[in-house]
Amino acid sequence: MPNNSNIGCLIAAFDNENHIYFDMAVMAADRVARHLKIPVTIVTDRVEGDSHKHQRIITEKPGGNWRNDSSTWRNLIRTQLYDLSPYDRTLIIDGDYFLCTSNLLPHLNGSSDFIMTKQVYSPVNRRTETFKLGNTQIDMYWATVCIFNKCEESRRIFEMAKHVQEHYEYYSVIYEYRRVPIRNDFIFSVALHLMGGYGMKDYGFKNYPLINCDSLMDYDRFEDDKLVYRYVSDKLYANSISGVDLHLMNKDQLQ
Amino acid sequence: MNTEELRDAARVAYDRELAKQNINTAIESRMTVNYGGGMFIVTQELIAFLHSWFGPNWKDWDGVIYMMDAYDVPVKVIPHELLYICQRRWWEVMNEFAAEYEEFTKIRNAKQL
Repeated sequence: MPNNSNIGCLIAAFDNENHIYFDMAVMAADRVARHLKIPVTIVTDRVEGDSHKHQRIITEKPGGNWRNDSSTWRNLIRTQLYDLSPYDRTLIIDGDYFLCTSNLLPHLNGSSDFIMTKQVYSPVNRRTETFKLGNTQIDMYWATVCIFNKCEESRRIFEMAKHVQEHYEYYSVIYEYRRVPIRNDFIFSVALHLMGGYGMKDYGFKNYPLINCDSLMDYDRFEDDKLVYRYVSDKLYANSISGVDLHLMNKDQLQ
Repeated sequence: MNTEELRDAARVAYDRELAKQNINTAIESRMTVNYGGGMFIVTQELIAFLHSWFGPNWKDWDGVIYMMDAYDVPVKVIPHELLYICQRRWWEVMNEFAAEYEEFTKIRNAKQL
């Protein structure tokens, strides 16, 4: 990809009853602008609210992935982001993905037409691994971070992802994974498996594991791009991690 | 700190091996460079390979080679150019690592985090 191409970032944010995802997306967008120095566009249904000079694309609230007693998780717009992106080369991140480094830059300026996070590092069990999807055990991709060019290959992947999303129940039977909640990770894992010659092609980031700070961790504090956290193994432990981009999945602990 | 907070802090353990692995993961993620439109992962093997083009039989040779980048795309490479970029990145990242490692060795328990 030529360095002078139109590169930018998209973050989708749709509030629900319990979480203001828009504010979280603005925080994530600020970090992208600071570390990668690229423009950011927030895809949302929120017309009001301070977006800190980041662009906005206003769309209708997408369908719900999942609903519990108190709220609906709405994030089923990921498959439409190819069509919505105003950029030639797009970085997509989740609103809870907090950049603390410029480590994504070489990937943004690299040669791949489509890449998505696949390897996961756990700051609790210190393993870097690729998860497997359902009983069919295909490689699981994480839709948390994705880079794509506007090109035929990426377009086909997104079209396939739309198809999988539309027939989610059918593919959950074929690939033997849980139907609820509807996860973008599963949608893209299946789409990439199909479009990559049934698993022949690797669409994963190289040398860039996703650092999942999940429910096994209790965030103690997050300052100066360093996360201090606690976790329980054989006893209660504390540790810290810095110098990496963090997927801060425990949204309640960020507010 | 009140008594409860002190008691809480005292019972929290610290896993040095995990802390070390966290630093290693951060360092590895930084070992990437762009060259010729591609992306390369800087390793000792890559540096040695690029250096091999300056051996006795290749003295004064200033040609071009093709290499697969990290995403399996062939990239036209002038060995001494990529070698310089890789060596610089190695030098920067490992110096940072050494400084961070020195700080890390001072941490003996969770209270110092």
